[in-house]
Amino acid sequence: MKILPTILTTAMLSLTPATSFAKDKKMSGPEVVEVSDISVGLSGLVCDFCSIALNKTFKKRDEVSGTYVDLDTKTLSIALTEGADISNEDIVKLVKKAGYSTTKITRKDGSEFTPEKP
Amino acid sequence: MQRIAIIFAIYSFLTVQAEARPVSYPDAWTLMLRNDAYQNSLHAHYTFDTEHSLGLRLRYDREQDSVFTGAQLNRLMKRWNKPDSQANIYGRIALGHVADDKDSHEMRPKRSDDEGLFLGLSGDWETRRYFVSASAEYWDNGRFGDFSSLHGRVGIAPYVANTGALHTWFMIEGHNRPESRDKLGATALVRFFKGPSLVELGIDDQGEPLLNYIHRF
Repeated sequence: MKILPTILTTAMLSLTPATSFAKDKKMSGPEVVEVSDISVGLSGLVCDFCSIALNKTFKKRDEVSGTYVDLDTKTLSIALTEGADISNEDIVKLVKKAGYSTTKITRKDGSEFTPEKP
Repeated sequence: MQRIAIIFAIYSFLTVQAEARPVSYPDAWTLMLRNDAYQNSLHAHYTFDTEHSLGLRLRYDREQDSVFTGAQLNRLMKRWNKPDSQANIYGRIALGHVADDKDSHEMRPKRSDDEGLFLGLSGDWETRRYFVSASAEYWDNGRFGDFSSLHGRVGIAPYVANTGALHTWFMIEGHNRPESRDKLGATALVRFFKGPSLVELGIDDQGEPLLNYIHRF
């Protein structure tokens, strides 16, 4: 019984990462910042687990073609698929779903949105 | 059963006080391993909504020589998101089966199986430079015994790393285990954190090693 955790761990580690990363075909690097349509200011960002939560939550949306979280600037950059859009309200909800708070949303056309504090 | 019902009632009361905040993003799997002088523990859980995760908990208790196998529910009871920090309060409960881990060469009689219960309450506060956490845990392993523990941890990052880089932390963890051989103890550890993986390597004041691992899928 003492080796059961070791066996289970080895099995999970050897299988899960491959299946997990194979699904993600969207952009995720710093290059997203250059082509982003929306910049989202965030609070509560302290580590890479935070960026993973935000990336995975937003990439589930068809409107999103890529995301990148910069811990230094506390910003989530979102690139949209051609012709698609995502509302400010949806962005605030998705950020909350991932576990964080939105401080400001800035779009490529210069428009800004500051959500009300809960 | 009455004791379990009371504990459930206390847990329900605590969670009713909590504000609805996510514990992780929905559909995330997490693997958590802890190995130290007292235990080998595995917890694999699935976050099914914004404030709950549920999963398998396996724990070998080195002092009791017993193995707990059960289901564990975790709840993010409260989160504070600030521009440069985050703080959280978590509640945890596990119910399962406890079995003797007697080896064939041991001369003692084998103890029969029993039900087990785990309760935990923990809090943390961290910035990208500093980390503080505290937790209280209670195990009721039936005929194998009850025990509790209090843990506290402080950490500092020698440098602040950006997304995707290697994050490094130096930490000290202290504990109080009233029912254990060593009631008070401390562990020095280093944490390496990159992308979805976190590894902690440490050594306690008795010279025993610590190896923890967390991976988010």
